[in-house]
Amino acid sequence: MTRASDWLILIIAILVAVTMIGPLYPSAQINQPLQPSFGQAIVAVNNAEAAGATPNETAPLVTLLNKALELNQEASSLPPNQTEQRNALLSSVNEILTNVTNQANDLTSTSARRTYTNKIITYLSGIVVAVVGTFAYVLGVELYQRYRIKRTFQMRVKAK
Amino acid sequence: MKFISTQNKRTLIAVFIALIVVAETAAFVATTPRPQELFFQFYVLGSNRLAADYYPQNNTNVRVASPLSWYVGVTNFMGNVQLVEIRLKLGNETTTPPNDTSNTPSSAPELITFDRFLMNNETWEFPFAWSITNATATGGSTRILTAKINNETYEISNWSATNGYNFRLILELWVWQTNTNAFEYGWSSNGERRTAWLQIWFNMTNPSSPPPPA
Repeated sequence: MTRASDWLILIIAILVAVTMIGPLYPSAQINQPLQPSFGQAIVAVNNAEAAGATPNETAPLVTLLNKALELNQEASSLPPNQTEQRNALLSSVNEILTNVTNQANDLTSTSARRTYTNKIITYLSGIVVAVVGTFAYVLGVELYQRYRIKRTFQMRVKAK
Repeated sequence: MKFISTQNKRTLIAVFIALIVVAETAAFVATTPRPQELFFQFYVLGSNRLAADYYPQNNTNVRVASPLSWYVGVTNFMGNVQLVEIRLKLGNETTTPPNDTSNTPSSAPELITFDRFLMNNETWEFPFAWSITNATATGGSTRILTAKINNETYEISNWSATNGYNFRLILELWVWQTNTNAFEYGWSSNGERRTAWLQIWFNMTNPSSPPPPA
């Protein structure tokens, strides 16, 4: 006869297997950009969000992206003869975008790990709840049986 | 335990499996994101940040140097960070507006664009102060030559209307597409193409500047 502990091990093994096969985080497939800078940066930020980054974590990156946009617009509004200033601004834009892309990539790794851990904890909590529930059931049945026995011995026979 | 030794173990296993199924279903529901409608909210408001008072005294007949103060806003409900662009186009009565069926933008000439990265659920609202700074009326046609938008003066070519009636400003929402690396008119939501655009009409039957206040 199969023991209850064997069933428990089997269920845990199935759960772990399902967790490993299934997606660890919402995998919004974002195509790689054909061009660098802005395209790369936004894809990196979107990937971080898909991996589970919170708005508080992505907000500084979005602020930097908007700063890059402002500098880019400033560069494009310069007269054609101000080449040096334009190049300096565009260099700053590229620097910001590279920085954002790197930070977003780091955030993707961190968020993916955190999402995976949270998922494992949530599924393990389910097992713990089931175990506790089963013990509660056993305890309940035990107490009910004791109550029934007690009531049986308290019965009195009355003559009609 | 007495219960285990006396009762059928199958009952216990069945209870445990039932609890596992319930608890893990709850865990799955808790960790799976809900499907949501993806869209943008796009609006233009009058000087009091209401959908009213677009023109002083509600008179849509604009004159040269009459300042108009509006607010343009976009809210991102796409579920992630988006790069949006608002394109301002200049039209008149005969201009082809954007087509909601074919999702094509207006063919009107573009004057200016406004770009911004938006977080999910973020609203970007910016002042849109504009005035016509130079216009002529000749031969039954009013032609707008220059306009000031947010303190920048723009020279305009080929923006005219018969007798100064039915000029319009068209605002279109363009969104950066990561797969094409370019702005595209509208966005995709659950496999469908969606667009958002606004237009506001005005007349300029008497281009001369209003008299100075007494």
